[in-house]
Amino acid sequence: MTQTEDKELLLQFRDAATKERAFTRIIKKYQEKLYWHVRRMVVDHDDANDVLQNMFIKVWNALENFREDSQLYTWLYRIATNESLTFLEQQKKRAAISIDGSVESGLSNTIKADKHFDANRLEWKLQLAIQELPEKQRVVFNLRYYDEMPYEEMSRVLETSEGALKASYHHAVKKIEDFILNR
Amino acid sequence: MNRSTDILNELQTISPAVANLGTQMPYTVPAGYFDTLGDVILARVIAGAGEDSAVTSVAGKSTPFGVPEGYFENLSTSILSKIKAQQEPGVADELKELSPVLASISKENVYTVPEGYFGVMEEEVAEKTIHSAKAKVVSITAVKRRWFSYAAAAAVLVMVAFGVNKIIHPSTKLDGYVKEGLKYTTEEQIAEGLQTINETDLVAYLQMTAESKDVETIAAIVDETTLHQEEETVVEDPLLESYMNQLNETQTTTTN
Repeated sequence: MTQTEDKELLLQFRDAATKERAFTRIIKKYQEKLYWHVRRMVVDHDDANDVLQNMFIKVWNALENFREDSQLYTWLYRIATNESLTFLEQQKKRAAISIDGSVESGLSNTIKADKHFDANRLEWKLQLAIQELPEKQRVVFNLRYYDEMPYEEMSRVLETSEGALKASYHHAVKKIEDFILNR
Repeated sequence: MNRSTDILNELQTISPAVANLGTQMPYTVPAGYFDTLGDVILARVIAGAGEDSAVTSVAGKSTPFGVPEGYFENLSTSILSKIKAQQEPGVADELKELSPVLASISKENVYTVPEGYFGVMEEEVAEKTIHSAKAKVVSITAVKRRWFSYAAAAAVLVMVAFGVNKIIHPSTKLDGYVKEGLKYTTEEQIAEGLQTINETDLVAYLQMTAESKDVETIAAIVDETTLHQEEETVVEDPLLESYMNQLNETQTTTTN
């Protein structure tokens, strides 16, 4: 059971003799899920790598004081989300921002620059549509659509009410549908 | 237990004798039975006890089976979550209802990851966290001092090889230094001797005799990859210490 496993990992992390092994196990267990969560936000692999590594470094420094008022993976997802949003915010400040818009068009350009990009494939068009969403709505959409995260869990990750998340997801789906059909 | 009027009337119709009997139950139950019944049942469920096996616990008796820590504290929350999840439409059904178009698009991952990435990432994070905590701190001062010690060692090598008196001062007192120096006839012997140089004295010597441009010149021509690491060179050496002390005396005598 994931919860029991995670509790054991936390106990091992807090023991100096097993701390390093526990940390390595945590990375192995969650790295792929968290990588893809970050990658879908920042698009570029190198950026995703930077964000993911910063995230795990924060985990190493903060896990000792983790209060366990949420589950471990909820906490990890929260850090990964915040790191991704912070990264995008920093990109906005660095990039030349145009009136209509921004880093979103930068991310769209990054998608189009991918060597496998195929404008005729709906899967790629979906990626472009997702980048049109406001950042927090993008997080909600990705967590529900790709990670199939229950709203209750998402509410703990994003510290937002379930009702607000449902509404956000529903709007996101409508916007994406509109983009795919009309653009 | 109070019987409803309907039931009483019905019973009167069937059997007045039975209708007049009292409803008090004659059986007794052990004290606290119902307080612990739930725990007992759950413990049996966890242990996977069969229906025909003996009851593992009644009120007042302990159960031999263990339960994960915090199990009962989280049980109600866990059950409620599962119920909620069952009542909530699945992600796929929700999507079909919201947008059949989007539901028809494959969730195939279009992005790629460099081969072996996750293994490399794990190592890089370990370097920055686990191994970083164990790494020695190399301060800027320590790096400069290392260069000074290498430069000083090279300067002393030159002095010993070519005669101290030609480089520092033309003084008969220095003949003794040259004789000592001539005992080192091979580069290996000199290198061995220099291995045991006291770093503090070397730095002091270099600061006393070398100009900054000398250090830069020596640093430029010395191949750092052939030099020993800082921690391998710090050992007391009586001979060089003797040189340092005598040089200090010479400087003092000359200036006085």
